Amino acid sequence: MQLRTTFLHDMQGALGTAAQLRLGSAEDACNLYATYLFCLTIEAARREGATVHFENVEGSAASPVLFRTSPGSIWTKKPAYTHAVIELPGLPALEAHLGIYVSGKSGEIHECDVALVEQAEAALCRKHEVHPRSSKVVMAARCKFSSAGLPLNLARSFIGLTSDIAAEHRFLVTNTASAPIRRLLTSHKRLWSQEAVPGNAVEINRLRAQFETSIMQYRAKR
Amino acid sequence: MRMTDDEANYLYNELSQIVRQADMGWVLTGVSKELRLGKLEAKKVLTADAEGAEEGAPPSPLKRPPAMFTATTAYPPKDRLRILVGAIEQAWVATTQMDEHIAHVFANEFQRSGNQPVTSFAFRSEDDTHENVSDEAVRARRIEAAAKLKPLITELREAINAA
Repeated sequence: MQLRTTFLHDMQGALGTAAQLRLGSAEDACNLYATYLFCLTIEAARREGATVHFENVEGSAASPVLFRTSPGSIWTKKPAYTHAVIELPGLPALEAHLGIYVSGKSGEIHECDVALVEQAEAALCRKHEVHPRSSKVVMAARCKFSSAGLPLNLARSFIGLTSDIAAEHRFLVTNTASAPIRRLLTSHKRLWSQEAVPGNAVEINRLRAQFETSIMQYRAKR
Repeated sequence: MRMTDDEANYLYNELSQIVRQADMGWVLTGVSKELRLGKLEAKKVLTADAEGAEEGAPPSPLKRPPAMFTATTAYPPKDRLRILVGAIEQAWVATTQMDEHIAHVFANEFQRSGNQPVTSFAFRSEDDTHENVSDEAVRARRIEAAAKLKPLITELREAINAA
């Protein structure tokens, strides 16, 4: 099969520009990706019977909906970033956050792109300006959006991260695939999801089901 | 008709130029990293030949099974083009679908909790120096670009894979 003679011209016309699409950097795409996974977390909670509403750091209704561009502290007041409050019947509420630091067993802090934190812990941390303890983080995901391939050090840093904030219910989620990363994470018994993009319904359903399992186990432990 | 290596190289260079002109150079950075790393291949190597055998010495009568090593080789032209096409698809099509999904979830959740449906969301740095808003206008442009792009990506993949 041969390409049409106008193919390259059509491609040029289709792409638009970064300014029009607001995708001027890899970070812009990464932020969008983390927010997409944040929404999958909310959907997983819904499927587990939760009600959801959005608040900012002051506890007011979130308007506008505002997220971080880089990891930060849960107590940051300006800008007033948005988080989701997840209420499961008969259980202490949870909060879903984007891009916050949590403290590990060692006392070091680590970035969690998506974190589901017990609300009592989140409130305590906001009051005292301290980072949530990893033992109070019900589920966390490290998200990586890459245009092509994945560096192996991503898996190594995830293994390091999860040795300090526990490996259970911690996910490394990527939009592309890498067999060496799959092998390394599997051999270290770490959770991962690759090619997790909206066009891949099988993988998205599998990942959302894993998030649901994390929430279900939180319920079971109470 | 089968795509030749020269045609694949030509298309790779032309498409890279179009991506650069769209100010989406970060897409090419990811592609370059992947191409620099190369293709991982498992390779069987007879270690007995390499270890301790003096040059010109007769081969050892003890036959050892070959050991598995990992090697990296350069991607052939068509694979390079496939990687670039995949990157374009991720950057333009996958992000658009994510944006649509996020907007859908926020609209539903805000409505369910008795608030006005939210149609936009923003990313803002703590020092207020950077803000990126996704609203209906941006989303419409992304959807339009992705809709135009999808059949072109299919067309290109068919041309690459044609026997």
